[in-house]
Amino acid sequence: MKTFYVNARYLIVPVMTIATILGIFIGNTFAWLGVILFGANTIIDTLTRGIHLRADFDDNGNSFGIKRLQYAVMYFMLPAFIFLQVILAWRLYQYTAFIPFNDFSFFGIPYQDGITGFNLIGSVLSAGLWAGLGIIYGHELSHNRKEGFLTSRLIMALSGASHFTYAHVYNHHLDLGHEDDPATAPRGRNVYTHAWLSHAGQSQYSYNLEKEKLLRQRKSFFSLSNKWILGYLYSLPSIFLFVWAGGFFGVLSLIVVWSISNFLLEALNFMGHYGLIREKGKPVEHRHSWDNDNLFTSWFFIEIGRQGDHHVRGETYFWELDDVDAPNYGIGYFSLFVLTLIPSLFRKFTQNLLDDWDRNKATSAERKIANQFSNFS
Amino acid sequence: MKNIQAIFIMFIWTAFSILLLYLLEAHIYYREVVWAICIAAALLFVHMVNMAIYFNITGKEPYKWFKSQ
Repeated sequence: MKTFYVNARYLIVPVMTIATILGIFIGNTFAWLGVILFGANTIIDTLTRGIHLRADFDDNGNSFGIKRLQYAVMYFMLPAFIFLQVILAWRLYQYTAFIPFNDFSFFGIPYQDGITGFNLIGSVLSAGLWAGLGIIYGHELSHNRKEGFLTSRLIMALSGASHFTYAHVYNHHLDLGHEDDPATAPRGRNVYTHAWLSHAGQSQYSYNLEKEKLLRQRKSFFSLSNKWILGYLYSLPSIFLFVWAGGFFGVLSLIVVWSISNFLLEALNFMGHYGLIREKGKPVEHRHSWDNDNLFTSWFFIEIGRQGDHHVRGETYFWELDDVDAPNYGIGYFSLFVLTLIPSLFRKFTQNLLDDWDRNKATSAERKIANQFSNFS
Repeated sequence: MKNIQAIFIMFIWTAFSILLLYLLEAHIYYREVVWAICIAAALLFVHMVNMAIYFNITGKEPYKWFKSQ
């Protein structure tokens, strides 16, 4: 029973992603289902903010997580996200081809042929939000080798961010808490600026990495050995699909889907490390990441909120990550995300937490850097 | 300053590319598969060049935590 409970609780995103796909397929106002689910999750996350659980192990210290099942689910998310884009492209085709409204049934599932502009907006927003939330699987698989790493690249390519996989493992995890890591937000930066800078900075890391590597190998930058170029080429099928299905509207929709999904990804980076400081060359410790580990956030985001443990034990399976007394916001990602959207409110919320970090967790060298921020502001 | 300079050049490059696609009547032929592939490849190229413009103009400047460094 315990094994079932531990494994089933991480299926919220796959189930809701399928529901979002079904909503877009059924059409009419169901196209907004993905947006409604996002809103409902924010409410559930806020209501459960006080419930924090530890990782589950048996008496012998073994985890209840079933590795094969959890990996099968993560790999399954690649075709699920491809299908999410295909179903949205189908709706774009219907809109731009002026398909008349008719009610049909497909294997017993009723759906409406044809879509209004309003419900198409709902479909695009739903697809963007769930493509963004699904990026957690791209993140988790980036910490694997071979097929897991490639699957991560392909999942991220669906959002035009294949470079993330390299930058996350070789830049973010090594340079965390320092200005060399574009995914760490310094004090005073807002989530909107961070979304662009972190996205571009991670792509720049991959670009420079390949440039130097190919120079050493005496190969041209413009080759398929260039993983920066290859990463963007993985996105070509998505672009083709949206161009073919919707022309101008298709391109516009893809821009919206990519913008939302990348914004959500970078918002997670923003929340994960905002304002925390590490002296260059010193080891990454639990205090260099924020934990967000209330019940709903932990289950929904497959424990990605246990950043403190994750950054010290990067190869650890997500179901084994635990509370390590890292700095903790005390609320979940959905609730905190709403706060980040209002920068002044977010800064006010984090000020006391950062003051506490400076006093009780920072080293004297880290505190010195923190003081420089105070002097600048 | 370098940020603004980069964004301005990215804007000019994107506008020029979109104008070129428009003059080639890409907005009319996008449902033909070969055209759709070419348009998609062109848009991806525009995006990649935009990123490269940004990296090459701004360098590490936007990532400095303290601007006087």
